[in-house]
Amino acid sequence: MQRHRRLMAIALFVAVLVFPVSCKTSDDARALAGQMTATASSLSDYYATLAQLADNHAKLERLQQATLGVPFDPQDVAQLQDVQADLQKRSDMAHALADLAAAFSGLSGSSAPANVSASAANLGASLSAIPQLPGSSYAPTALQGAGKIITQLIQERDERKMAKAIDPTMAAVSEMFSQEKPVYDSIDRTYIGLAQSIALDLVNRNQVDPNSLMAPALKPFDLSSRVPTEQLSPGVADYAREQIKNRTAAEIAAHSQASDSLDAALKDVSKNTHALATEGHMAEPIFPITLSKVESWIRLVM
Amino acid sequence: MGPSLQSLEDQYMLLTQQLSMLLAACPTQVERDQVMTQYVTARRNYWSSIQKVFHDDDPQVVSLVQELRTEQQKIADCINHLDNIARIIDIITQAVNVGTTLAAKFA
Repeated sequence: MQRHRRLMAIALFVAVLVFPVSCKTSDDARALAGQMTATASSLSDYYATLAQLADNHAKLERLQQATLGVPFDPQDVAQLQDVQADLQKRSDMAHALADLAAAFSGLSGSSAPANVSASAANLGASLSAIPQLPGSSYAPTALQGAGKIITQLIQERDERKMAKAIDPTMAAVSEMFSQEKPVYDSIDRTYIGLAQSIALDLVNRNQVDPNSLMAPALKPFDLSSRVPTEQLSPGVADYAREQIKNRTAAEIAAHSQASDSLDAALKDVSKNTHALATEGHMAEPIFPITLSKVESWIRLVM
Repeated sequence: MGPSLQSLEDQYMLLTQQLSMLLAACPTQVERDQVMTQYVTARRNYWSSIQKVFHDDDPQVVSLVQELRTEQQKIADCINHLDNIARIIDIITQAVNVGTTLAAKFA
């Protein structure tokens, strides 16, 4: 009886010792999963918007052909479609990562969602669709099997091993974003730069209705300006040019802030994933990531 | 990737901003076509570079980037002298040719 009591006491002691560690790991894993889901979702929206900008750029080139006669051949269409497709592949990859991260947060629940396997497989397939950049150290081909491994670990409910499995993927996604960020910034600048150039040209040709410029004065009285039949007055034309230039600068600044905040968020998630994989817990608490700068930019261009 | 892509972007955007004015300064369709050809080449060089990665550590690329910057400055300087459109087209052609060589250096 005494031996039994002693065994019970030891068991209780071990349980007390182990329980907080397990809880800590689960809390960290859940917080990390939340951070990863938010960041990957935002990343997916960001890439999808950038892909839309490539499509919009093609429309601007077509408009430039109509207004100035600049050649716009099937070769040019194909070039922009390729860029758009590459960005869409990245969006799909980030979407798959967000789905998997959401499943990651369900790890401590009673049952893993049925779509976990599909999410992990989608991530592997999406990663393999992105060609490796020459000279970069990340290797999507090496990550193709990650989905299968993560599915198994979800089934086994092993958070730390799962973090280890997803650690290189997260690091690769973060590294890819940092390496390609100058390209994303450039795509945004040339899109808005071309739009600005065409818009200024249309103002100079008197092909712009200044109704929206008059709106602050007329809207309170439920009035709207009429389409001008004559040349815009120099003052109104200057005002239109000023608005075009100011909004160009605002759009470029908004995109720059969006890509900077995503870069920082991805680095943070990657660092935390690595800490969970190697240490089994976080040294510091994980705070939810807010990516309002990305949302603001998307609202501005869409 | 940075300076090389930036140089091609700068060339494409400089010509985009000046295109309308340059075309208006061309007395004949032949010259207009020459300007259009150089503009489209600069645009294609830029989009081609987006798809690839520069080897910025390649000494030849560094030299080409420097050369392209010098050519860009020449275009910017001569834009104010639209009376000599033939010379402007020559300078633009020279600059876009350097851009084409640079774009071809993408791996």
